Amino acid sequence: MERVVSRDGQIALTKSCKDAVAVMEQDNVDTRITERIAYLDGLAADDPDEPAVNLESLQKFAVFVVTRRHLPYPLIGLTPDGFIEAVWDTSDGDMLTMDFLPVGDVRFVVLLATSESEPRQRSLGGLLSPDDMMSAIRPFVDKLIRA
Amino acid sequence: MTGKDIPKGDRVSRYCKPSSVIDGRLPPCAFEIRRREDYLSVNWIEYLGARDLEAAVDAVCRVLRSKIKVKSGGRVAVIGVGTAMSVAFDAANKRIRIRHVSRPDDASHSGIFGYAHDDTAIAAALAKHARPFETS
Repeated sequence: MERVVSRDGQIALTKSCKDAVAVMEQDNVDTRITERIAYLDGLAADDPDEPAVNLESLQKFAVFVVTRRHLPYPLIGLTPDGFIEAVWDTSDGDMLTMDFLPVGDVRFVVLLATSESEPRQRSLGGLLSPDDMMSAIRPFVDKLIRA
Repeated sequence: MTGKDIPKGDRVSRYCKPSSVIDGRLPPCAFEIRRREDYLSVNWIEYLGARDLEAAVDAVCRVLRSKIKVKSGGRVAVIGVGTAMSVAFDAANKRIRIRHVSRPDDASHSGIFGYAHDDTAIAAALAKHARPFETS
């Protein structure tokens, strides 16, 4: 009997960044995302000071983008630990950052826009599962989609 | 060797590797500290005695190039010491310190102390308020 593996399962089974990128490409993830990941994966090979992409972090990020296609394209960087960091700007100047930890949680920060009436740099953040985080910061996620 | 606090009116620079630069912009990871490190390495701009900021960034690149690969895809991010202290406190209610940590091979080397690898709010605030310069 043929065994059917879900897309999440396929991502979890990947053994390298190239494999994870290939699965994302098969699932028609925005090419800007897959090209950026491939670029980041190549940096460490060329420069020992660059962090290598953490595969488990990439897998969690891949599941996130595959299952939340309504979100706009994020800017993508690497933390010193090699974890995927995704950054979005909201329609009114707030910034959402998510660091995808290998265990599956995200460390997130919303940096609020400063203004004449509120010049202080305010933020909110924490450590949650992606689903809980999306619920907790729903107003900001809605502004991402409108951005 | 850890020296004095850098005056709030002065500036420091941070070399941001290509993995922490996105379309010329600086995400929080550009200012995130490695696990188990006490401080984030920066350079004291005014210590270099350059004629202007661009010349100081050039001087920083020359020093760094003797130690690490400085790439065109990277950026040198410059932030005022007072601004950095202020936005870090506002964003995370933590007081950071920026001190001169001179090294034999890098006399202007300094450090941002007082935050940890998981203080993403501070890293985000620093990245947002820093000005990126292309590497020379």
